[in-house]
Amino acid sequence: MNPRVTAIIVAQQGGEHLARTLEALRLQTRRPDIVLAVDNSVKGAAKPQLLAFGPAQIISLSDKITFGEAVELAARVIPVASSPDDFLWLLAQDSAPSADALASLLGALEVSPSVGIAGPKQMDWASPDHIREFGLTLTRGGRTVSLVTDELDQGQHDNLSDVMAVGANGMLMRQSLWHELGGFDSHLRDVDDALDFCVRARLAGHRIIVVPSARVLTAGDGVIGLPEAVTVRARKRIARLRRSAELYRRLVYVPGGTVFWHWLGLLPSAIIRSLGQLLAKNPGAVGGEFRAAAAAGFSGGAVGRARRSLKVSRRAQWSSIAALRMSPAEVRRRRILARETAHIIVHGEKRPVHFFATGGGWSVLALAAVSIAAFSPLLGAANLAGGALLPLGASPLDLWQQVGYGWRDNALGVIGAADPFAGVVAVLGSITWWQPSFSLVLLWFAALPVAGLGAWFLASRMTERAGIRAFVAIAYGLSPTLIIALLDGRPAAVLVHLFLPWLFFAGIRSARSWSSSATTALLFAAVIACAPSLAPALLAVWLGSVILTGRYVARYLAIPLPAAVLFAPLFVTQLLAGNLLGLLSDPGAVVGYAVAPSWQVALGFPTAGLGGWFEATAALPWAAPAASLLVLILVGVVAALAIAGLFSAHPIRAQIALGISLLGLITAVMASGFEVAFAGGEVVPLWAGAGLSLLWLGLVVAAATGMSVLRKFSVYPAVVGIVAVSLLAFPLLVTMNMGAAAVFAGNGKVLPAYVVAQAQLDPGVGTLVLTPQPGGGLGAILARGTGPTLDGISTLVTTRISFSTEDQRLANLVGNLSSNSGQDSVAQLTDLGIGFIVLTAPQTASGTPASSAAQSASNRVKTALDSNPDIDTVGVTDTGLLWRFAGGIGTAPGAQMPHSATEPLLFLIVGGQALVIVLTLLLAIPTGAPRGDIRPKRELVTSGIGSGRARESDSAKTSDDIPVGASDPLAGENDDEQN
Amino acid sequence: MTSKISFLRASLTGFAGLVGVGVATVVVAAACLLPLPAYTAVTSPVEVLPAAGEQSRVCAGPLLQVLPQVGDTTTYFAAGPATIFSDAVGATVNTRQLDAVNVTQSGSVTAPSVLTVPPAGEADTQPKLAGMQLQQVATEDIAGLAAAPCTDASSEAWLVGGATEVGRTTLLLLSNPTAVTASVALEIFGDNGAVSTPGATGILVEPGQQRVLSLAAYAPNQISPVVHVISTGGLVHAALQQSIIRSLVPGGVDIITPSASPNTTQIMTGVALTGLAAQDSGEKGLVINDLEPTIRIAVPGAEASDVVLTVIGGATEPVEIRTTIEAHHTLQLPFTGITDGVYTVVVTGSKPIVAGVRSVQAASSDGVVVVPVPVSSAAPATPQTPAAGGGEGFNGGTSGVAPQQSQAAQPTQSSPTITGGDFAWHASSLSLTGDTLIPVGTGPSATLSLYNPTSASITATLASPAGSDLTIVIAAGKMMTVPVSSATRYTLTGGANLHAALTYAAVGLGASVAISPTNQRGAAITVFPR
Repeated sequence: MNPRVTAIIVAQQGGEHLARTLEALRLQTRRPDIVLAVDNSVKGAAKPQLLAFGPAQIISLSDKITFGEAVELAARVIPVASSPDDFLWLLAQDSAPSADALASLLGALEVSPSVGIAGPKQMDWASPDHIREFGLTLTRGGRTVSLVTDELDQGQHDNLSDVMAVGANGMLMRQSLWHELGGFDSHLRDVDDALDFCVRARLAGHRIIVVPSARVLTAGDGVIGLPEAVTVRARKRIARLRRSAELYRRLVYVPGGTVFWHWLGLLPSAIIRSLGQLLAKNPGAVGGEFRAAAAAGFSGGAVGRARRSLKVSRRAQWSSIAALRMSPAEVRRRRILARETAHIIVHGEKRPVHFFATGGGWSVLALAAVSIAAFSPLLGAANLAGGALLPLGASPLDLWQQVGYGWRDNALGVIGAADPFAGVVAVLGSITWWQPSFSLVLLWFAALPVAGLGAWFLASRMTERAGIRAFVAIAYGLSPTLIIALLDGRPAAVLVHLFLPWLFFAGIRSARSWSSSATTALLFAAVIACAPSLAPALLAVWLGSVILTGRYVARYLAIPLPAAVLFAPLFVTQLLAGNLLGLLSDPGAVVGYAVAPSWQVALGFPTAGLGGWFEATAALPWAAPAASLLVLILVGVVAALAIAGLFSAHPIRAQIALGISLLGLITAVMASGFEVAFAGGEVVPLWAGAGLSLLWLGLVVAAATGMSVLRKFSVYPAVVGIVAVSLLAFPLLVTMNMGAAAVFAGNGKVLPAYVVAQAQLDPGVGTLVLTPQPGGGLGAILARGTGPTLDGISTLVTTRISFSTEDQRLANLVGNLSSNSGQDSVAQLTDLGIGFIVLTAPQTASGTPASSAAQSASNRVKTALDSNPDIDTVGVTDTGLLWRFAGGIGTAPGAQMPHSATEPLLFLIVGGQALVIVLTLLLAIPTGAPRGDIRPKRELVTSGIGSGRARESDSAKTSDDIPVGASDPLAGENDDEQN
Repeated sequence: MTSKISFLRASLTGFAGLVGVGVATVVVAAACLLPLPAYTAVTSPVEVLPAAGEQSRVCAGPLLQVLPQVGDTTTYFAAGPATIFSDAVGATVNTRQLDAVNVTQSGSVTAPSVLTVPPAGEADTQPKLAGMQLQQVATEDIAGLAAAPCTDASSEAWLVGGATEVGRTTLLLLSNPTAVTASVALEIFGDNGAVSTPGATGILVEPGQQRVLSLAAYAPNQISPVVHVISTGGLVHAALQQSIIRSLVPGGVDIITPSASPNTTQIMTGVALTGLAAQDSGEKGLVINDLEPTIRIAVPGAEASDVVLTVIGGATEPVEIRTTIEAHHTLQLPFTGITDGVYTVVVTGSKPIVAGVRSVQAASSDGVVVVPVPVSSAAPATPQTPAAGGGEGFNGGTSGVAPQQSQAAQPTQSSPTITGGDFAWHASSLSLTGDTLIPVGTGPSATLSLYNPTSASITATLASPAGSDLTIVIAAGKMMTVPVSSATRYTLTGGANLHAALTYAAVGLGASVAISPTNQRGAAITVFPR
């Protein structure tokens, strides 16, 4: 009997594609017996063309329907299949078949009755020698894989025959099969409809083959399947729909007993895959994961219908088609190939940095040598002390317990949010986990070279000239503000200086990659955590970036998010306390400094004394003016180069750098006027050095731009700049060796050794540390255990402007202890578990002797405690005079922290912060994953980078579809879904 | 065309560059010159008024004479009891005696007294308590008038005075009124620097005891010692008793009470100087002769101090002397160009210093001192003290006057006596803090001196129980003397920041009581809990 072929052509648009398709149809060597056209175009735009072709019937529909529904409609109007040799040929407006396509397909079907469906080789519309698709299969986990994608057709796949499934485009099937299986699943609207149909056909006992000699062009108009994605948004949508279809099919295919468990697993798998998407720098796909899971999970009974229909039609076991699935080894091979391709795309254009070749190593080495020489008194130290330096907690666990929300040591302890700086300290201390405090020693020695390294890499983004890079590295590494922070013992300021170049290094690249954007966000949070006073300036820079960045603004928008999340609890607390400016306070121990006049700040010195120049020239006549002039000239050299940058070939860069520099200056000058933190009773201004780090970075970068004017002679100004900055820093660099630095090698103990020894036995024992104030008052700190730590200090405590009843209670105890008093101090000390009292040297403004009021307060405390018969004098210690109260033990009721009150908030706050940081971290970790969204596929084909090769190796569709690293835990369990 | 574009671009860059330079200049200038917004957080510190506790004032005890040595231990005997005159507000004064272990009992009261008042019930305010002792003796060994305030025991005391040359006896009186053993260390500075004092540490003073030590044992042959008494454990009341014998004639006696702790400013008021006309023609250099009044200054710190000495009189212009004192050294400066009168001496140092002043009252030309009859008749009949008084014993509030007078008269029964004059040590005082009780014991021509070191005039009221309130206005930087009645309990109100001293003077007799705020450890203290 003569086979009867009914061609169904679905058109959604008229035009050139349709014309070419109809023309190809007309030129078929074996023309279809009946041609049915479904005109689904808007306002019937395709109708004239279809009419001109003259099909048997035109079904016109104004509402847009899917390809499956269109075929179903058309299949209803044709006569019922009377024999197995009645065929349906599915075509769309953009499926121009080669002249012998139908003949070849038909031939293949006619010779083997077991074959139910035959698919052509789908070729690219624009370049017809490339295969778009040639057979589909499933992985073990159920993911759809195209066997061949975007390959030049050299006949390499022509031996392919039996496949799991074929695409709908140009598919020739037995008409009876369509009715037997009930057509395409209406729930799979655009994705996997043909695949699902083919799988059901397979299970119904039919074979499915590809016919290499049959070729059908396909333009990807979106009539069959989804349209070719050109925008990021469309790519995201495709990924989502594919995932949704995959999950839906899984629910349909799995054995009945396990459906519920698979349904339950939808959400966890979406969460885990989302993390994978972040690792793959694909944060935009996260929403899609959840929407896909929701769409599959709440299909409105479609799963049930599909399962029933499958049950009815199924004749064969799942195991019978297992061999047609893609093997895991093949999946892996394709993934590796895809990754290699992506690497070529991502890194192919990257300029190598040449760290060693252009002298980066030498600059860093020189700075390391300077650092070791300058801080040689600290060599061999296990701990640092002096200034704002305090030891870190005894173990990383202690450090991390200080992060987030919880118990803050102060008067009698308060529950509150931690400074974000505690997180920075925790990370720092975890580097030397065996002895966290040692990390500060490393930081001190590494500060100069690491600052230089960061600046060098920043410079490598701007210039290839070794001289200029060296200048940037050395000038930033020898920045006076950094050295002063090191000499004065300000770890937060040192960290800011080290972070800033990396912040801009990553920030510059943020527009181009999610990884850089997330790295920038983390560094932004770290910088703000170390110096909240930099927040206004950096937010201004951020706002400028957001405004100036056009297309990739999304990657900038979220940069302040981690910082905001970390500061949110603190913000709320300070808001409620009516002390919002307290947020600006420098974290860590509060130590005052001699505020420099504004002009000295503008020259880059946060503290008075012009970086030691006044002292160095003290012996000379006209010392102060001479030193000022010299410093002005030295800084002027750099400033003049920066000004020259404005007239260079990169004026915008110089303008931005100088702008940032000026923001830093304003920050620094204003910081010295903002006094928000208290050291005992004295108000201490913000550290001006953080702003100066920003100033110096901007100035150095602008100067580097200025040097580039001289092109290959730029090495001369670079040398001049290096000499000027080195000379400028010289008095500071010798300060520590002259013994004038605040920092010294400590023993890691803040409290007297006697107390520390006791605290190791009784970690809860309280030590009252009393410090006479210049005004005659007493600063009182209640330390528990071995004493205050850098991570334990909270700005909530140091900036507090009002005192709680608990504080008043402690104050009252202190007042009475240091008085001739009738109060029963024994009961109080016992209740609070205070075992020791330390009277430290009076607090002084820098460089002045203790005031007489402080002296008399000191005497008063000493006298009162000495004559208190309940308190034993221990004696003089490094820290101060020590008394002991034998009844004070750590298990006292007043020494316990109230656990219960903290926990709900603790979990909420710590959980929320950890989530944001971990997600940002996942996004920031460079995984080298192929990035589907790096550029549209079309660009890939036409780009100059190995276009041909790229096409060959990018054979799998995985790059858009499932990024490497996104693992689906359920996929593995589903290996047996066919049973 | 291209050249046109590049020219345009170059001019644009140039223009933008100039604008950039301008903006940068303006911002830098503005940052350097303009007053930028500033903010200073303000906290309200916690002012703690200690719960009222028992208060005690320790008096130095009666004047002592060295008992001719028997065996190895030196013992002393009292030259009669000292008159104690006290006043309290809000409580009754109790008195107990310490155990003077080195002093042989000689019948009458020979031990130092401790005046105490219990905490004033539930009242928040600390009761006030003040006392002084006065004693006039005229024996073969010691003669003269000695007065001293009864003060709080402390852990540290700076005693400026005394001498250990031949004929000069200086005793260190250490009393421990507390319940804790005091371990005392001495640090002695002299005109040749710090005196090496082996054995001057770990001097134990048991609770409730007084120990008497001879300063010469630690620092012999010192013209101008300054003693730093450091006590750990219990607190001690430290004082020096200096007596002079010049060729068998007693040349005066005084009790030296602690000066203010090292500070860059030291103020001694109520310095009554007499006979300067005779001195002035004499030596002009450093004072080595204890017949001359002098200002003794010590620099306890490790750095030399420039010192400016200002002598302020009631009416005359201040006189200044400048010098430098080496570290750990003491120096005695003369009064030059000054006429007789009552003065305030202000010493300022570039480094912390301690200071005291010695005034000298020469005997009358015949060397006979007529011991004045106690001026009980000059005092109001019986002071009407408020109900707070009325204690027992000879120093009770309301009724204590009469017995004191009789005791005070006791040692003077053998008048007149030949003496070589008297001297008085003026300790530097601390500025007053609030209402101050000034009990004035019976003695010759008592004068209250008040000095205002501030830059604003101060108006204070001196109230006596008799009811006649005296309003005193003291101009900035000026001093004023007010004659006061003996055996009268005065109260000075509104006198915060003033320096005050009580001076007794007669021909060949002199004594001074520096009035410093008492119970400083009961005052409110500011605490900053962090």
